Amino acid sequence: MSYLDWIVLSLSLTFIVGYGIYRSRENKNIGSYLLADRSLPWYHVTLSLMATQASAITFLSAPGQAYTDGMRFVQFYFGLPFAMIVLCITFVPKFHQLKVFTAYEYLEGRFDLKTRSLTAGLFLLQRGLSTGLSIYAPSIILSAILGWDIMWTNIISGGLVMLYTVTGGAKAVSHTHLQQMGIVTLGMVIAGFTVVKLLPDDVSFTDALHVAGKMGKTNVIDFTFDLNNRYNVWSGIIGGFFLQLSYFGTDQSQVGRYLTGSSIGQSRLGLAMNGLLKIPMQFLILMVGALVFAFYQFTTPPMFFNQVKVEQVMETEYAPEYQELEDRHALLQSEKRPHVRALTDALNKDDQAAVDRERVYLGAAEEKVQAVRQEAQDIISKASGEETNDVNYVFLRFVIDYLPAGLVGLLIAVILLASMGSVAAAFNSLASTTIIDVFRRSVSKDGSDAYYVTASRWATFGWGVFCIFVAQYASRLGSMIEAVNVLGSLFYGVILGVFLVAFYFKFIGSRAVFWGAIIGEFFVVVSYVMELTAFLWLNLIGCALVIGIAWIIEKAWPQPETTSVE
Amino acid sequence: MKMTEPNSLNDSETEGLPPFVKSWRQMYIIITGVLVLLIVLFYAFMTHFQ
Repeated sequence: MSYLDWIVLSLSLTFIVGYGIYRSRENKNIGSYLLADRSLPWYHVTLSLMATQASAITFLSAPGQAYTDGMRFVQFYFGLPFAMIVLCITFVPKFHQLKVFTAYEYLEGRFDLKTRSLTAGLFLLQRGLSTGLSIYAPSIILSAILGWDIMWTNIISGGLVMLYTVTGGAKAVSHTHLQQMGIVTLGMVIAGFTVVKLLPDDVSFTDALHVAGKMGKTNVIDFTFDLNNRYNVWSGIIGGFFLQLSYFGTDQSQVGRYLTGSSIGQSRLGLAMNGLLKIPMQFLILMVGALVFAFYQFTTPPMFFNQVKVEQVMETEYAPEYQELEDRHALLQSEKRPHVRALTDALNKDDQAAVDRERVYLGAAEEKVQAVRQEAQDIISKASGEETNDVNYVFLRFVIDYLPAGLVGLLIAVILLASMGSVAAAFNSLASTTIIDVFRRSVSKDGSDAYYVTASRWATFGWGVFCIFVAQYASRLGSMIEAVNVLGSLFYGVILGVFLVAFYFKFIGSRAVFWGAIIGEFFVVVSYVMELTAFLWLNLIGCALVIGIAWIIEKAWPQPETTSVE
Repeated sequence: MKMTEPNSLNDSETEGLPPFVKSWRQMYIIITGVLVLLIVLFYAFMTHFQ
């Protein structure tokens, strides 16, 4: 990185942290600290929801996903608008009217303390571990490409977030989300324009999309119903709906964002706008990846984008085999290039027959390239002893190799700020749940407001240290990473089931739902361990099991005295 | 701890709505309509560039 890059990066991070600390001075009580006085307008809510959901991996992985697999990943978000509608109709009015601090607080009123404690405990376990990985994920990628030390990257990026979340609470989180999303959007728009500008002079934006499209990268829509195909319209709408409803409805890191809305209407509008904006935003990020793919059709791309892994494999017995693949990859790319040129010429001359001919050739050629890449990936996995791929490295490698000085710093700032945005919301939600659902409820019930603000600050600090510790430990737990990444799907469905019973099945009492959740969770874990289905469907299975089992228990052994208040 | 849930919304049913939308029901129809429109546009995008 050049000096200019360091200046841009430092200024961006200093601005965000400084602004967060500046906002810290307004905390008067626990309501200010945990929910920003429930005073924020809808656009704060929308941007805060988006910044919380979009982690560093969103901006690193999505373009790489489009490069390797095409743009079909966008279908994953098709259930989100429906989830937003259900949240607006059911969750938001209930949470607002009861003036709860956390989603789990509501469950005690509807059921009992043990159901509240169970769901809060599942959340703390899942969110605490996954936040550690949110800190670790960009660190491992930045260390591989820029040579940064993982431990210090973890400590600095996690520590910067702690600086303003410990002092500023929800207000600092939400206000910095606004600025973070501004810088992130600016960075991605500039990156998109720069990719197009880097194309050969006679290749336009639409030509680039045609090149990507003819090689299967604009595969945005797939109407085929297939349970084992992770990304199609139906898995997106059905599986995605349950995943997004679970995430936005029962994960305090998101619930805490829309509870900061100044009224039911402002929270609803914030969610509604998220439902309108999220899919186009994700589409545009994927399109940047498709454009990067088109760019690499006019120059030779790396066969594998994680150079550290390539260097490692070249020091093993697999080096000759890998080198042979490198040569084959370079040959395929050079054979393909004249046909890419012929395609753009045919497009400019509107010669449909030539376009069709080149499309057939390029489609087949791209399949061969992907097969070689897969072989290379297999060799690297064999040499390193762990499953690996380079999806997360494609975009950053391109940024480092081709973007001008200054922009590299801005794009690295985008990645770190995206990570900080989601980590900040997680710290705040972990502290809220710890203080409201555990400490104030069961440990120290009669403290003053100032006492609970201080306790919340310590809880934020404690969770920050814990998550950074998990991030450090994660670097030595390669095979554990994937398991913890699916952790959300293991728990979200069950927690959602508990909330849906609370909202829609008024006759079911606390005992039935508690045992429904325990048994449901057991079967979800068994389904995952036995690999019965793709993990996206675990959300639906967990939710359906809780409702079904709770229903059966309530019918078979009705609870003598209902705890329901409705 | 027990909480009592109110029976009706205290906030106005139209509070927070953008000026061009008359009710939340209409807002939800717009969100669904935009999703359908996006799927159609994405399909057209895919077929055009493939």
